[in-house]
Amino acid sequence: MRRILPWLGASIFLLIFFFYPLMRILGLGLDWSGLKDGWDQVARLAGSTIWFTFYQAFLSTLLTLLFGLPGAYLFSHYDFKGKKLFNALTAVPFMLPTVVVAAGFNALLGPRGWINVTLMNIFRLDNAPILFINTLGAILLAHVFYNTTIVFRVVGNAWMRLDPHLSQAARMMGANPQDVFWKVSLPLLRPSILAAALLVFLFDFTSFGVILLLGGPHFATLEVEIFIQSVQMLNLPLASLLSVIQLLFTLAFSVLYSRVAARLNVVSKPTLNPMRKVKTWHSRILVSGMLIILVFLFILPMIALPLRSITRFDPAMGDRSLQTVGMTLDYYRELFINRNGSLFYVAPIEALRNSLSYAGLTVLISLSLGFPVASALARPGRLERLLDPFLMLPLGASAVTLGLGYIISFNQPPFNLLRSTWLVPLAHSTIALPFVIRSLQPALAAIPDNFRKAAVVLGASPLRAWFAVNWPLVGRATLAAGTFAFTVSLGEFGATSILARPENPTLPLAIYRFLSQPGGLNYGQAMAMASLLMLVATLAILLIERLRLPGSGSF
Amino acid sequence: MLDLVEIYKSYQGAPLLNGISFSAKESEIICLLGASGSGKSTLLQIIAGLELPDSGQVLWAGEDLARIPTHRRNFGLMFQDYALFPFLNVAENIAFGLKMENLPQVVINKSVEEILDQVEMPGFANRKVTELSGGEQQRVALARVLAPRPRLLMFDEPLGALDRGLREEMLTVLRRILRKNRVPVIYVTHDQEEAFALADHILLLHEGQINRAGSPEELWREPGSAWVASFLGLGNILSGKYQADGSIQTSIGSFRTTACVHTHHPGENVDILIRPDMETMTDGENYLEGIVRDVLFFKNGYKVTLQSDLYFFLPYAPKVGEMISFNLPKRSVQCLG
Repeated sequence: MRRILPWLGASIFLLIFFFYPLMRILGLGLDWSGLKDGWDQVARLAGSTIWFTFYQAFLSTLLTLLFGLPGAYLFSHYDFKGKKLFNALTAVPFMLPTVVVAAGFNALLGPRGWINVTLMNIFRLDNAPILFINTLGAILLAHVFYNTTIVFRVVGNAWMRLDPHLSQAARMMGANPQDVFWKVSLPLLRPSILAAALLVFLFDFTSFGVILLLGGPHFATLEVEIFIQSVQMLNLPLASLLSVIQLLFTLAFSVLYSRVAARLNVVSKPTLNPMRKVKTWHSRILVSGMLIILVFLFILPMIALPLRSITRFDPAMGDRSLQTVGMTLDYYRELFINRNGSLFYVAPIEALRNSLSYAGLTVLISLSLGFPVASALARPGRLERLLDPFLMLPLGASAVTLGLGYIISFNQPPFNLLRSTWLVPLAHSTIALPFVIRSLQPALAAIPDNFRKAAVVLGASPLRAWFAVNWPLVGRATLAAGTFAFTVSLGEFGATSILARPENPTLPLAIYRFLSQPGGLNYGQAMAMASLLMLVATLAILLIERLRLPGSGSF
Repeated sequence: MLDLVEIYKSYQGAPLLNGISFSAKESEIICLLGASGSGKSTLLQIIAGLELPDSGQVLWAGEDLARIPTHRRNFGLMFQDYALFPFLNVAENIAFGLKMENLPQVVINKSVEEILDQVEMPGFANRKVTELSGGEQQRVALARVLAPRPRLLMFDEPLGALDRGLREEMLTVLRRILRKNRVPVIYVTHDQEEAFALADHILLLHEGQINRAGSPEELWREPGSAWVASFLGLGNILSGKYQADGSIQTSIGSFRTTACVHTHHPGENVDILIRPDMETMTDGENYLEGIVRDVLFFKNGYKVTLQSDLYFFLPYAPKVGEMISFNLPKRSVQCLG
C-alpha cells in the first residue's frame, strides 16, 4: 500500500482526464453509424488529409536534417566565441509557443512584415511583393525553426561522444577523412540520426498551430482537420474517426522511435572529445556560414516580432505613397481598452490575466500530482517500471485530440464541466504532467542516497535530513519542473483552441484571433501580445536552462 | 563497548552476512578486511542503523540498539564517496552534525576552525566542496565525521578513491588522528597494506563470516589457512601430502615445516607456505633448486621467479636460465592446516 500511495493521485487524474476522454473518442470514432456523410466523402477527406500530413512532415523532416546535421557537426566539434550563448538560444525555439513563432515569421515575412513593408517603400509598390504566409514554404520553414534543435542535441551529443580511437584506427589503416566520415562516423551515428529524424517527423506529423496560423485555410493536416470538424463543422463523429486514425499513426511512430532510441547509447564513451579551435580557412567558412544561417533562421524572426510591435507603418488616409513610420506604444495601450465592436467582450489584456491564472493552476495541479510519482520513480522497483509507460502515454496523444475528448466526455453528468473555467487548466495539466515527471525524476534520482544517510549519521532526524539535504537539490528541480509546466500551459494552443470559452481567451487564442482579422491595429495588437508572450516564455526557458543540473541531459 | 552478536543479512535472496560476532573496545582500531562484495559496507550500515539485520543484535555498553534510530546513536560514518553536500561549503559541511545538536553558532564556528587545523586545512572554511581535489575532499569528509565527537567512528574504504602517493600521506594523517581519539574505530578496506598499517585488530571477512581474526603480527606470522595466506599475499602456496616422518611431500619435493595447526594422519592433504623473503634464505634443512625464468627489479632487490612458478626476493639478480638453489630453514616453510 505504501508503494501505491504516490501513484494514487496521478493515476486517478489520468484515468478521468486522459483515458476516459480517449475511450469516448475511440467509442465515437469507431461507431460509424453516427457519420453524417457518405463513405466515399469521408474516405476522400481522410485520404487527402493523411496524404498532406505525411507529405509536409516528410519534407519538413528532410529540411530539418539538412539544416540540423551541419549544425550538429559544428557544435560537437568546434569551439568558438559565443558558443554557450548560441547553445542556450537554440534551446529557446523548441519550447516557444507556436503563436509566437507564427507571429515572429509574420512580423518578418508577412504582408505587413518588415521585409515586405521595406520593399513596398523602396519600390513604391501597392501590394506586398513576397507571398509567404499561407504557403507550404511558411509551414516548412516554421517546422525547421522548431525542430532543428532536436537534431542539434540528439545527433550533436552522439557525435561528441564518438570514440575518437575508431576513426583514428581507420586513419592508421589508410582511410582518408572522407572515407572515415562515410565508413566509420556515419554508421556509428546512424541510430542517433534515425532517432532524431523520427522524433522530428512525429512532431511535424502532429503539428497544429504552425499549419493553422501560417498555412491558412488551404492546408489541413489530420490535427487541423480534427479541429475544423469539431469546432467549425461540429461534426464530432468524423472528428473522432480522424482522431483514431491519427492516434494509430502516432502510436506506430512512437513504438518505432523507442526501438531506435533503445539502440542509442551503444557505441559511445561517457567522456567528451576535445573541441577544435577555428583556425583553418575552411573551418572559418563552415563556422561563419552556419552561424549566419542560424542567425537568419532563429534570431531574425524573434527580433522582428518585438520591433514590429512598437513600430507603426500606417499610411495616411487616402495616400498610399506617404507612410508615417515611427515608434509607437499604441498597440500596447490598445490592449487595455475594451472597445465597442472589438473581438472580445473584455479588454484584450484580460487574456494575459487568464493565461497567467491557468498557468498557475497547471503548475499547482501537475506538481502536486507529479512530485510523488517522480520520487517513487527515482528509486524504481517492479511496480514503478510497470506503471511508468502508462504515465507517459499522454505524450503520445495530440492536444487537439485531448480537447475533442473533453468536449464529448464532459458535456453531461457525472462530469458536466464544459462551462467550468477549470477545464482548460485540467487539460494543460494532463499535457504538462509527463514533462513534470520527466524533468523531476532524473534530478531526484541524481541525489545520492548517501547524502541522506550521511545526514542521519550526523544526527539529523529523517525529516530534518530531508529538508537539510534533499530540499536544496529537490527545490531547484521542482522550480524547473514548475516553470516547465508554466511554459507548457502558457503557450498551449491545440486543446485550448477547442476548450476555451470565447469570453475567456488565453494569450495564444487572442493572438490567433487578432492575426486572422484584417487591419493594422489588429495586426499591431497581435504583435504586442505575442511579444509579451515571447518575453515571458523566453525568461521561463532560460530559467529552466539555468536550473538544470549539470549532466542531467537535454532530452 | 560495541558488541555484534550473530548478525545475519541476506541480499536479494543470497546470504551476505552469515553470523558475524565481534567486539570493539575503547580506543581500539578494528579493520574489517575483505574482497569487494563481501558485505563489509553492509555491516557498517547495520551498525549505523541505516540497514536492519535479518537477525542478530548490535549492542552498545550492553544495550540493544535495535530501537535507537541512526540519528540518535551518535556514531560517525565516513562514506567511500565522502557524500559531501555540494550545496554547502567546507565549513557548513563540517558544521552539519554540530547544527543538528542545536549548538550556538559561536561554539560551532570555533569547533570547525579547530577541526580544520587538525586535518591540516586551515583557511579552507569558505571554499566550495565541489572545487576541492580528491585528497582535500577526503580531509573535509574526515573533519565532518570527527566534528560532532561521535562515540564510535566508522570508515568505509576511505582511501579507495585516492592514488598511491596521496594514500600514503592520508594514511599518516588518519593514523595520527585516530590514535588521538579515544573511541573505538571500525575501518573497512580491501587493501591489506592499509589494514596492516592501521589496525590493532584485523577481521578477515570471507563468505559472510569472519574467517580469521587477530593482530597484524599474528596474522602475518600465523596465517593458519591457505586462503588467508593467499589473500594477504604472504608467499608461495603449495598443496602437499602429510608424510609419516612429519615432512610434507609436494610436487617439487619434500619439506620440513613449522608445526601444523591440526594433527594430521599420513597421506592427508595439507597446504604449505614458502616465504619468499630474503632474510630467511640461508642454511636450513630444506634444499630447493630451480631454473630462473624471470627477474624483476622490486623494492631495492629482485623478484626472481623460477620455472616451478615459485618466487623469491633476492638481493642480487641471477641470469635467466641459470640454475639456483636454496637451503630454506624450517621457519620459512609453514604448514597451513
